[in-house]
Amino acid sequence: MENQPRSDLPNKTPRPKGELEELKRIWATPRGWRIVTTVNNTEIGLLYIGVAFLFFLMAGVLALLMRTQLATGNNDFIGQELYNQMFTVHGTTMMFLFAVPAVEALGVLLLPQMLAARDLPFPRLSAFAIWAYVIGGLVFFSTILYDLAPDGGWFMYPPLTLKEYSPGDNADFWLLGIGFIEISAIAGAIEIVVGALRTRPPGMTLAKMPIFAWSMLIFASMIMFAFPAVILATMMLEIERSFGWPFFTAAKGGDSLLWQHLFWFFGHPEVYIIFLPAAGLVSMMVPTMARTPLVGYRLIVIALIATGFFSFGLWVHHMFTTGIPALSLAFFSAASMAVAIPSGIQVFSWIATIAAGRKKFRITTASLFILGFLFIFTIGGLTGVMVAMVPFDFQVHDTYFVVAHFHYVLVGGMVFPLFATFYYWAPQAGRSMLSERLGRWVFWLMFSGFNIAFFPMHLTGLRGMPRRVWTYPSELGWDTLNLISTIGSYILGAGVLLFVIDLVLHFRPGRGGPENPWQAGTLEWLPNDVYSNRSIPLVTSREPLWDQPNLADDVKEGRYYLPNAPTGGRETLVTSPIDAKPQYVIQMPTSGWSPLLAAIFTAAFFLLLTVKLVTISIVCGILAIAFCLIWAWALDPGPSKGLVDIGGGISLPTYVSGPSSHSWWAMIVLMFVAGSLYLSYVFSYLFLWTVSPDTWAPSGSPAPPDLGWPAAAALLLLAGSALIVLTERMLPPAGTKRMAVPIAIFLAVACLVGSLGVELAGHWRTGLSPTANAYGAMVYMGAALFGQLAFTLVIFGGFTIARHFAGKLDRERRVTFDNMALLYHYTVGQSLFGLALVHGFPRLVG
Amino acid sequence: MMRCCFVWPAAAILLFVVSGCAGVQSALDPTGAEAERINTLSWVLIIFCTAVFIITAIIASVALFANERWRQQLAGERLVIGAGLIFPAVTLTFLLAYGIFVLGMGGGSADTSDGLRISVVGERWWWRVIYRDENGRRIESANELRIPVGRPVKIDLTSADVIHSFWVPKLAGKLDMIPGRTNTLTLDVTSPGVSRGQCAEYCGGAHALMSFFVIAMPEKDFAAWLADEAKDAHQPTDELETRGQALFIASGCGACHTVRGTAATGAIGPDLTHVGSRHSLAAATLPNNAEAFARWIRDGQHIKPENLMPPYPIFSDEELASLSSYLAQLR
Amino acid sequence: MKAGNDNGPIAGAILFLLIGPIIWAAHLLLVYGPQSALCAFRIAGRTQVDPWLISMLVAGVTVIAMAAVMLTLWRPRRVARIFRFDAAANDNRSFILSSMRWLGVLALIGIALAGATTLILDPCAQLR
Repeated sequence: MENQPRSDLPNKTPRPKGELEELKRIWATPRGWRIVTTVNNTEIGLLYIGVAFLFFLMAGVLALLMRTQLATGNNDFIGQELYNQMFTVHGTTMMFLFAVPAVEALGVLLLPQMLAARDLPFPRLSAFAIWAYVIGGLVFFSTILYDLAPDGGWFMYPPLTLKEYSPGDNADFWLLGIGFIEISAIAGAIEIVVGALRTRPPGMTLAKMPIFAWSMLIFASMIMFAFPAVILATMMLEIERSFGWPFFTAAKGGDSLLWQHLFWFFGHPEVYIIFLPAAGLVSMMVPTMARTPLVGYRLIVIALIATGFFSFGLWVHHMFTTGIPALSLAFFSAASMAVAIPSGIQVFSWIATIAAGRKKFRITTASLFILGFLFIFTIGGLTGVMVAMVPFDFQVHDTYFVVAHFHYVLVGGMVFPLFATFYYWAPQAGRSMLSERLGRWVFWLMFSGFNIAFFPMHLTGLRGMPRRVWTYPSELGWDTLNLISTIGSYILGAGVLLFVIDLVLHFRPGRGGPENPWQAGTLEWLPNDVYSNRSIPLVTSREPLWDQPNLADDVKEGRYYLPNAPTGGRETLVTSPIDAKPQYVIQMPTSGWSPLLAAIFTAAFFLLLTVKLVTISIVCGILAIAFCLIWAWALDPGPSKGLVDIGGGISLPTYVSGPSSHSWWAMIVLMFVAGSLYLSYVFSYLFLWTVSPDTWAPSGSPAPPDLGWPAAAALLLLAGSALIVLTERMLPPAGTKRMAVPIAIFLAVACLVGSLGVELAGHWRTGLSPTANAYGAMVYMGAALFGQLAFTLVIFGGFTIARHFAGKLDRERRVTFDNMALLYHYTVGQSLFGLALVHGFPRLVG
Repeated sequence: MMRCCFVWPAAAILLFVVSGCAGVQSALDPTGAEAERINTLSWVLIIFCTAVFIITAIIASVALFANERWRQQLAGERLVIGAGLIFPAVTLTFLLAYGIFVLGMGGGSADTSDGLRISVVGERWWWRVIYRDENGRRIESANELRIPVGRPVKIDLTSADVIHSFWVPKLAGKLDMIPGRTNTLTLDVTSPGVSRGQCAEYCGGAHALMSFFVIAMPEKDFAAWLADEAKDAHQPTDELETRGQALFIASGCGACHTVRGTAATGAIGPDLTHVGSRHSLAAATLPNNAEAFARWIRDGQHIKPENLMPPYPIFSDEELASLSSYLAQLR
Repeated sequence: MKAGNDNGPIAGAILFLLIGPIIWAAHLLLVYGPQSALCAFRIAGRTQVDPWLISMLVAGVTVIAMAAVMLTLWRPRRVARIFRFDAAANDNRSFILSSMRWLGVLALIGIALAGATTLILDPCAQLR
């Protein structure tokens, strides 16, 4: 095999002059105000983490205000209305605008370095997601300043959040804020899954992948399956609020528990989505501080995977008190016990690693935060075992005991590792280290403040204090405990403030920080610059810097793969997913306005829609799509650059299509997202049927249309799929055009739209209305999900046709077509299933 | 690090001792069968978790500070598999079995054949309480639940608007009140006395001010009380109270409130037939006395913001005095 | 330039690695779904399913799922062949193989704990 990594690396022949300068020029950061057009993940990632941290500070200020209100009983420092908004915004911000974006930011910031990749494969997608998040998040948070903030809790249970009980726009702002984080989380997940599997350096097999990459891979996979549930739930809630389709209204056959199922099917994995990357960071730092490889690497990978899986089987433990049968609760209690085991494995792996070092564990600020994390997270895990016991949860559910528990898990499990990360990886993003002296003060203030604030809450809860109360009577004996908690929260706040001071004094963003200050063993500590590493190393172990003593020099001198820019643009190496064999060189986009403008107009579209400025919002929506198309136009560069030599005797193509292409992989990830969204819909349909079978057709609603209607819709779909398959065969040879191609694509898209029309017309003719009852709402919701894909394909089809006329689509240069075809066939499959469900199920049970 | 690992549990225990477990709304001071079972479970869990935490802290301290020989004992996958996999797998199985066993004891025997049924309806932000005695007579009250001691009583829980949760920590765990569903909770009180309950599911606005008292009474007293409660309202005796009653009717209070035996038959707000005999006003937000009535009528929105009752600043002090003395005598 | 298909091997590898947890997830779906649906109908008075049958269903699915996981632990190479995963000796492959086994063990614990609860509890009662 010519592409087997060869052992004659490092290549000692000197590199040609000017090569490094060219790399620098190609990867240069845009200057001045044009910096906003940068798409390099390591640069835009810094904005990402910075904004996430800003949200942490702002939501933290809300927490301090709330603690001040609760310092004594019968206090009226903050009134009821503002308090209710504050805890909603605090929870929503911490979960959606801080925790998930922060770990995702660390992913895009650190993964390229850890994988010695020049960049992750979709830099513009990252830039788009980050800008959408920054704009949307800031607007959402600012609603607290003008009394427009949502006040339904971060979990937004209907019916409280329906129009009837929350008539203002407040709840819509919540749905808006969530919309942005949904977009950026999914975009980030695509980037990270494809990045971790395809842009590893040669030789870094799955068994040698850094634990952080494993944890981010699992994190991103979990987002793929967890977020669609909340996307569907938020869509349904907004539709019910705006158009009155009764998904959650009991009087019309809906059920508020449907929201709880969907929300927690997302919400529980969400906790682990936050925790796993942080655990991954700890698994990177502990070996460095212990100066020994991680004990139980394999067991930790297993623990991460098992946690990812089990976390999807826990959602009902947020619903133990809803009165569903005891046996159902018991299944989830069992799963909640099972998920404790992987956490146990990780904790003891870290302890074993600490013990394994020949010298004692180095106590730096980062290690203090790790030890603090171990301390706090262990307590949080143990109280997690307690609340997993159903009867115990009957008492403590929705009390301060639970508040204590999840702050131990989340602050312990995520914030402390994050601060360790700041102290440990500061040189990755800045020119200097943070202060170890101030750092110790930061740690001890935060650690003691945290425990003083949250430990007493266990008792406050057991003594009967519920959550989400803005005041409480003094005579119940909660005053002392609350006062202690409030004092603790100020100490914690002082610690965070001191950190901000340390940041201001010592953090200077830029390149050229101290090289490998902790003598770590992983690739992110290789010398790097805007282009990441000068050359991409051949990896032979888990701690390459410890095992290959000359690696840093060799990489810096360009003695490994891809020391230059053979295509003359930004590029990185794509390797095979399991064994990391080099496959091709991916040409990557450079800085540009389109992701930023697309994000601005996407944000404007949703914002203006929320405040009911429909016309301008539609204009913005069209502009957003237009900028996305402009950005997509530059993709799919075609095979014109031919084969390039990457060193080590390997020549690789610079363009591939088909199942090896990173773009195909991204499409597959997107289809998984769409698929789990649709499965959430199927679950909702069946769930509402079990709740209110009496509203179901044929007895409770008009009988479904004659079988001729779904048959016609299905035939149109199949015809469309056949047309796409035919088109693929007809793709013209390079450099030519063939009129049949655009015609066939047009007809295929027309079939899709026609099929949707037939489906809608069929139901409409029976007199079924989406607002009549839950059945009607569900039937039309199915069509809405079909319509969403059809709309995408109308645009995508038009785009593909335009590519053909521009001479950018042929038998070789075909990634655009392949992706459209994938999405098309997926849509046909989903819609056929939908037809069978919506037309078949009522006949089956009726 | 080592020192702090021992200081913390000690401080925690101290905290328990100092602040105690007692309280009218404390889950650690149970007087109901379910709460007692859960209390035992809680202490088993607290002791188990404290022990596990201390052992983990000791192991971590050895890994951090002990000499080479001790540390090498811990430095392998043996520790990970033993302490991280086998130990939790075994102990958690036992704990789970215990928890499921306690769960299985819930509900009590379904048979409370003497016919007393109690329904509690959660409303924003108060509790409608409906008793049905053995004769099927419907007796409505609000914001206070009275039950007999020594036998299980089934409470049907529903909601009139959003999700609420019925929780009396001294008696039992919480159970949600969900629109469109009826959940049934068994209360089996072991000794007479007063306990306090509170809404445990955020229901918007004045969720913090939605509480109530449960008064558990010996069987005989309960029967007598229920017979009294079923009667129509007390007629005013003195002149002040009579003026209050006239004002109550004339001001339209009856559009929302019922006072059985008078023209007031509203169903939107709490039934006031025997409001004077209750432990508290405004869903356990105010004490029950004439002054509190006056405050509530004049300025209820400051006491419980967003509640449905409009403030009545139009009443003069004398009018308020007569109204509140009328209401206070509705015993 | 259409490069060879990696999706086959990677999909096979993922399925092979995750077979234990996948069976665990299927088990949860197959015990929780029918149990809660049947109970909902029983409580609403729509069906007359014997509660004992529900318990048997849960127990049966549990036994089948546990047997399936044990089979994958006992004959991992056969499972590998089904998913067209090449488990031939190589550092990376043996890593995947042993990870698959450990995940199977954890899944087995999860399935056993969930299934065993049906031995204690009435299948539909609220028990409050």
